[in-house]
Amino acid sequence: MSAAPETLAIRPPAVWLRFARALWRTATANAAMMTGIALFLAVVIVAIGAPVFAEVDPLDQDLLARLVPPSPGHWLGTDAFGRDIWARIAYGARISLVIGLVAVGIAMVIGSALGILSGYMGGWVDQAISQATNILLAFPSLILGLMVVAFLGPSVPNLIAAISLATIPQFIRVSRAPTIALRERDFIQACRALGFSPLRIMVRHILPNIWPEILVMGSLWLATAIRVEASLAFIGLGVKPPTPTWGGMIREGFEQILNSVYLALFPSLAILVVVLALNMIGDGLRDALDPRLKESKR
Amino acid sequence: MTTAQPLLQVFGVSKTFDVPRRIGAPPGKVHALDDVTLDIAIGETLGLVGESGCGKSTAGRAFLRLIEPDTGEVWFDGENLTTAIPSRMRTLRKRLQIIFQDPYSSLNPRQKVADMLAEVLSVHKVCPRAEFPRRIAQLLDEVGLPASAADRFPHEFSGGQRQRLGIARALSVGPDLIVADEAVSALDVSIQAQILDLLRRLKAERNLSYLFITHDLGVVRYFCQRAAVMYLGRIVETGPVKDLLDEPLHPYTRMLRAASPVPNPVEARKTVQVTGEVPSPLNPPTGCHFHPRCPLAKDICKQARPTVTEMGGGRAVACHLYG
Amino acid sequence: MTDAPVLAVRGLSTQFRIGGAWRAATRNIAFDLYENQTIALVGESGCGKSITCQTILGLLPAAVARTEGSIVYQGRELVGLSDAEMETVRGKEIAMIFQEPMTALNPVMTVGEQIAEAIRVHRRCTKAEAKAEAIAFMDRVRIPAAAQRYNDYPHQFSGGMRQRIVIAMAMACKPKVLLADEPTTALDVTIQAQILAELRDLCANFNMSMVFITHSLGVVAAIADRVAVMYAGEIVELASVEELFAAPQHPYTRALFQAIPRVDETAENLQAIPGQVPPITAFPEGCRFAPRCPMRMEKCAGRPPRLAAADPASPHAVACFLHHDLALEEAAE
Repeated sequence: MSAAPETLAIRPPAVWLRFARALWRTATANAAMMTGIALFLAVVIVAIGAPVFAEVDPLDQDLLARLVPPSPGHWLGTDAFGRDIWARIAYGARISLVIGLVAVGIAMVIGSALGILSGYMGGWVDQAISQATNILLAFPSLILGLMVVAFLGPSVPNLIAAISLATIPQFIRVSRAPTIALRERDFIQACRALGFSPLRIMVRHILPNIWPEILVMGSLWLATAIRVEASLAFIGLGVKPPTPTWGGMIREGFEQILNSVYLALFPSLAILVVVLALNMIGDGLRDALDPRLKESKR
Repeated sequence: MTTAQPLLQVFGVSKTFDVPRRIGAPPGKVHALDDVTLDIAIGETLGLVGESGCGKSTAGRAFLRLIEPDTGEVWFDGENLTTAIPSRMRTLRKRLQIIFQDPYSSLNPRQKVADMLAEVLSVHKVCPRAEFPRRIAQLLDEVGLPASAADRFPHEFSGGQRQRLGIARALSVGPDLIVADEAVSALDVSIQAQILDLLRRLKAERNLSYLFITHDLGVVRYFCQRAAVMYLGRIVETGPVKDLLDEPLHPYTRMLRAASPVPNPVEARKTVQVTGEVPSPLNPPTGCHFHPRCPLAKDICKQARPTVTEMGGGRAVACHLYG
Repeated sequence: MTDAPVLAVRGLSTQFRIGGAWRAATRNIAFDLYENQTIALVGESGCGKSITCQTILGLLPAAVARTEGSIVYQGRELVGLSDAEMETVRGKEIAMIFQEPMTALNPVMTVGEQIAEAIRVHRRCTKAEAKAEAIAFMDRVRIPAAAQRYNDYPHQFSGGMRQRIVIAMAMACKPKVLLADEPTTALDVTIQAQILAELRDLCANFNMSMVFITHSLGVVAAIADRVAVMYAGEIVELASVEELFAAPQHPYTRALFQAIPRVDETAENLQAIPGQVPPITAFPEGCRFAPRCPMRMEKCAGRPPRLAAADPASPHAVACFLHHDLALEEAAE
């Protein structure tokens, strides 16, 4: 009585492979995303290899060569103390990237965890987390960061804490909504019926289905985090001088703006490049993601 | 078929949902389940029949506590599920499984078949890890899929094959009762027959019981021994399938039966007395919910909810005609 | 009934561009539709029944689909007509209704306005006349309190009522032919029974012919005069509804009958059809059902059997070598 099963369909490639291909296709078809990746990689390489790329120490003062314009000895000129701007930008990239990456990394982990928890558990857990999120979202991230740093004092860990706190609500929001949609899907109900613990369902079944969205959000908020860090440094709440930071350099450059425009110009350009690159990557990621999502919904 | 101790007993289960306020509509409550009582014997297949929105899907999920009932009790093999603590409940879930209608939404798109089944086996420590591959191949074979299916993703399968995967997942924990929620409704007839055959074979081999939720009376007739008919959250009639379909008692069952398409041009063209639509569950009619569509409605039907009357032969009906 | 068919389809084939190559989704579709008659196209998903309907109305975009063969509507060839010429046929002469009525309705326009608009597009009349007529049509398809509900939006109606509205819109221009693509599949059975009765009634009263697409033999029995059973893009059997249900000839038709669980008879076993419908890219040579056919013979893998009557005197046609060797004979000539 039992019939032979249907024959197996021709096998398309695995999900991750299709995703990687879609990414690559989008990246190659999308010149903006390629440019973004290239620019960001360049900044990362400069930051990591700062001692190689800049022969001069960023703290070395050369009082005989103050406010020098770009020249063969000092590619980007020097500042009011005769410190090499290129060296300071290269080393400053380390501070910007470390603070940005660590802060956004922490926010991504905590934020998505809370967002998934909130969306999956519902009820009072959701109420509490959502209310807290709404309150945090009411403050612009810069103001929030400002308050935290003003309260704790400026230091790298405190800056990271401040920027994380400002970014966490964004990740809560971006992970909660898709979790709610997934919670009603049959395969999640099947997991519950199989007696899987809520933790397992959230980590093993919901997270893998929403991480691409979180990743897009991460790249966009990394840009914001770097901007916020620079803004805090600009108003004097960043890492203490003489450690080079892009925001601090712009601030110093502003004081000398009548004597030399390069001091403010080059670190500003550095920030512009990084923010632009990350936004290009984020947009590209989102484009790569959209058709894939449509396909899996079929 | 009935034995002394039913496998599943449901007593007066009710569930209401809050309906969020929409523009132009008042907020309200939907009585998805209204005092539902039924039981399933060991090795029995009970069909739960009704039109969309009658609460049959909610019922299946409430019995498994995927949705928490507001009131009422669900007993499984002598144990009260409604009061079971979470850890006990998770153990009991091995014996209570569910398969779904939509073969596209019921499998995690990012999990390979082998990983899906291995996860279940490891969570419930069904067998030592070393035996997983053999066990997975066995499960796949049992639902009629080749062992090579194990390292594929759900999207690589057709609808019927995915339904087989959902069944394999349910079988992996060795259940006694399976809730099949419109499990063959989305499939083409030739595939539907394959899956029904599979479910029937598994029932015989594993001594399974089914709660078979469907809107298709033809499937009920073929697959179930007993059936319960639902209308707007209430069970209006229960009985052995053949009696219930050949001589329906409740006017709603009669209407449903008359409206079901029959592959017989002479029968199918007889004008059937089918009128009206299912009213909004937000604002159900008073008394017997069916009275506005009922050709035999009396005054009392508008006022009082009919009680369940035992009719003998295992039949019961909730209708004032028989009260 | 007049002698000439309202709609005569001959050798119709719809091809899609898939991966750079043209693939025939349907092949050699042929049937006649007479006045006041309903023909059902029945088959499982992927058999090409919807594509056939969309081809008749020229709804498939030329970039991805092309049509061969002939569709003659009241003596006029439709294949090859320009879009502008098709406009005069669509709606006014041949109308179509769909499985999901919501897709055919504009969610931000009242249903009354939509029906009135359909009337005014094809016929010159005042707004007031159109409104009065729209209400009459709503009433005609048994929408309760039609005049009051004229100003309601589609989302305020149930699925069954929406399908009635779509039918009213389709009827607004009094078409000669209605193409109905699974119009009751998404509905509950009690609503389905009412809609089927409604369509039967409208066909009789408006002298309308209907091509009704469905996957359900039960629905075919309730609505059709003639039945075309389709499999993998071809008509495998064509007969009057009485003959087909009394004596199905093609192995696929027989298998379908044995695979449906019937509500009126208790079956011991269903005969499942092994395997599955082949995808468009992998249609077998010869008879496309052969790989799944229990009666398969050697010659089935060779040339495709032609749809023809086993008994030349009977209009019951079947494409199967079990019943005739016409195709082989003709190929030999």
